Amino acid sequence: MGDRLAMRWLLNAPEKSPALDIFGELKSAQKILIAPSDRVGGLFLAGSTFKLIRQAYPQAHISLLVNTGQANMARQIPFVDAIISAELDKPLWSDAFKAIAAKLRSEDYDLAFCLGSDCSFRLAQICARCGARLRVGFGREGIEPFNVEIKLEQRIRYEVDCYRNMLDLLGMGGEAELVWQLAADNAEQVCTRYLGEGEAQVVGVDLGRGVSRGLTRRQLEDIVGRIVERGFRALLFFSLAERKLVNYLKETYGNRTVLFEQEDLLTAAALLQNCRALVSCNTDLLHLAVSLKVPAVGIFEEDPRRWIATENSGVEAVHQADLRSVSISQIVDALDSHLRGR
Amino acid sequence: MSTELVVDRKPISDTIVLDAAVPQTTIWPIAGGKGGTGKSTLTANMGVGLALLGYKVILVDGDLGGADLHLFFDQIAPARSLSHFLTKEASSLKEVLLPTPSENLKLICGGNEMIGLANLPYMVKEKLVRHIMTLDADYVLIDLGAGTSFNTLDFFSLSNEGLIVCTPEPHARVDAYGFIKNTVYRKLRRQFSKDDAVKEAIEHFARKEGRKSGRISELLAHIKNVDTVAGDEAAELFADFKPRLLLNRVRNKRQLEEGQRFISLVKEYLSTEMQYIGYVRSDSKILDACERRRPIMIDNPKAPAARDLCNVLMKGLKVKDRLHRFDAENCRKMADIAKLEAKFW
Repeated sequence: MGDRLAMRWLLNAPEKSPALDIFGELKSAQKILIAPSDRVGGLFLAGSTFKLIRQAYPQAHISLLVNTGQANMARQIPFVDAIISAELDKPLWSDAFKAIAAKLRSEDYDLAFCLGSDCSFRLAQICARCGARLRVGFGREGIEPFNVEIKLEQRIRYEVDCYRNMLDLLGMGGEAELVWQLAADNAEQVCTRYLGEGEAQVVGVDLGRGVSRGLTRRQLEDIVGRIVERGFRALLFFSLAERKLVNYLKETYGNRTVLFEQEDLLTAAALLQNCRALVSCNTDLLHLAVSLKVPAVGIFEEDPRRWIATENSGVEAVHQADLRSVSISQIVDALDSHLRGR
Repeated sequence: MSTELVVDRKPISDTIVLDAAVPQTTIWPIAGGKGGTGKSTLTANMGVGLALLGYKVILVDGDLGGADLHLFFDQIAPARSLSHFLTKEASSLKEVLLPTPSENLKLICGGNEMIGLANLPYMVKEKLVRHIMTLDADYVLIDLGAGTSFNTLDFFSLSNEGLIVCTPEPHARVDAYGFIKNTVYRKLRRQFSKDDAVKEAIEHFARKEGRKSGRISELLAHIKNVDTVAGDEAAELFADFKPRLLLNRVRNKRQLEEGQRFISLVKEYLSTEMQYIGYVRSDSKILDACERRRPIMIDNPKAPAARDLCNVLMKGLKVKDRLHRFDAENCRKMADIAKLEAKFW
């Protein structure tokens, strides 16, 4: 059985509620909320979906709900009119969570899309309480936050294909070629500041873990060591949680490493563009690299077909259920194939 | 089930253009009015401190004619200096940047060998200022000479948050006060250089009340009487101008209180809100480091003066540690890292 569209309107509707003309509502929607998946890479994976929604609703007011840390990046997306940024990881019972829901309700949306076939329970609940007449999302076990659900066929598939199928079922499908690129001038200045002048021979290493357990300190040290051995500088993307590791690597490899704290994804994008390749677990940075067509070695705990299009030759996927048992040679071989190729 | 929505389709961009923000550069001119207050010593050490905190730093020796900043980095006869830039042997300041043993720290020497460097013609000074403003670093520290020459005042005016280094002696405080007063007048004159009426009001005040105990607030009132808009502009100028006070060679608590009194005086008479950013104790280890031609942050990072400098950076100036190695309460760790860094010097 293929993907199905399911309606839950009658289940939760008050008595005497008029019947809902779902496609009529879809057609007349003028205020739309999109909540990309809050799991890794949601914003980047959904780029073409934003475009398709805009194509379907050229006159509508479209808002994008993102985590605060992604707001700067989201502002660069030309298909939306407003960015609503909030701390989406607040507990359901917190005042902050209630405030987000209240704010969304006050906007009086006609239609809300919750993207991500397994976005967090919290995000689904926010969408459920956003007050939109039509709330479209993927069906989930045990909870029913949406009144229009997409029931996915039970098989592993690329996340972006799931979004496309959702739009197809709603009659908004189409082709949406999309290119992510950097404004050259500022990007050059960012690179000069961090990497120095001239053509940098840099390989990026993302020390973040995403939603996985991540690599061990020894594994990361080995990866950086192999990069340095090959005559490249390692650009280490880190966050506060990896501060000890990053300083240890800096002390070990000195000026063969360049450190960058990923506070700002836009600056990270400028640096990534200058990298010969990126080694990363399944994180936002990996998906940003994929969007920018920077060769990447992706290390996945779950099936990589969900996250990377099978036809994408720019990403070498290393898949292991327990990342701590990934052999370094596997990663380095994948990296070498990129370095030889570019 | 699927239904085609009938919508008015318009061409939509195929590209998401990511526009990264241009990295900021903070410029801190360091001056003091009196000679020998430790401006160059503190500039060199603050540069090293900022580099240890993970920032890219460029030190510019703006003490034209009396340059000595390079001596802290054991560069007795620097290969390139500002004089190469000013005589057009180098087309940009980037070409006269000198490396230091610290990866993040670079230096532009003053160039004492050129006669007349201390008296730069206006156009040359403007060119130099323009190039300093475009230096690519997180922090640019400009070590300025003593006195209140137009060069020094104009370089100090590059930032509204320049540092005034002052020792506890009355002479130093008087000179620092004079320096701020001169800067204030210089700023006003430049701001209203094309407004004859306001310019005349400033000159008149400077000749009469300004020479005695006239307060700048009175001058601002005069300007407002002459021209309301100019009055508002002048008030805005003062609201933005917030120089910082760094007390050097402090020997006791009483001297710190003197510093606070100095700030109140500046506020009262010059309508300028100074910000106190801390003190550096009188420490003979600084002299030892100078003799070895090394900054104390590297030569003896656990010395009291070096610890005070860490405090000035992290607490007074609120510089965050980019690599998250140290916290503001604990300068000992920074000293440990400085010791490691010292191996490269």
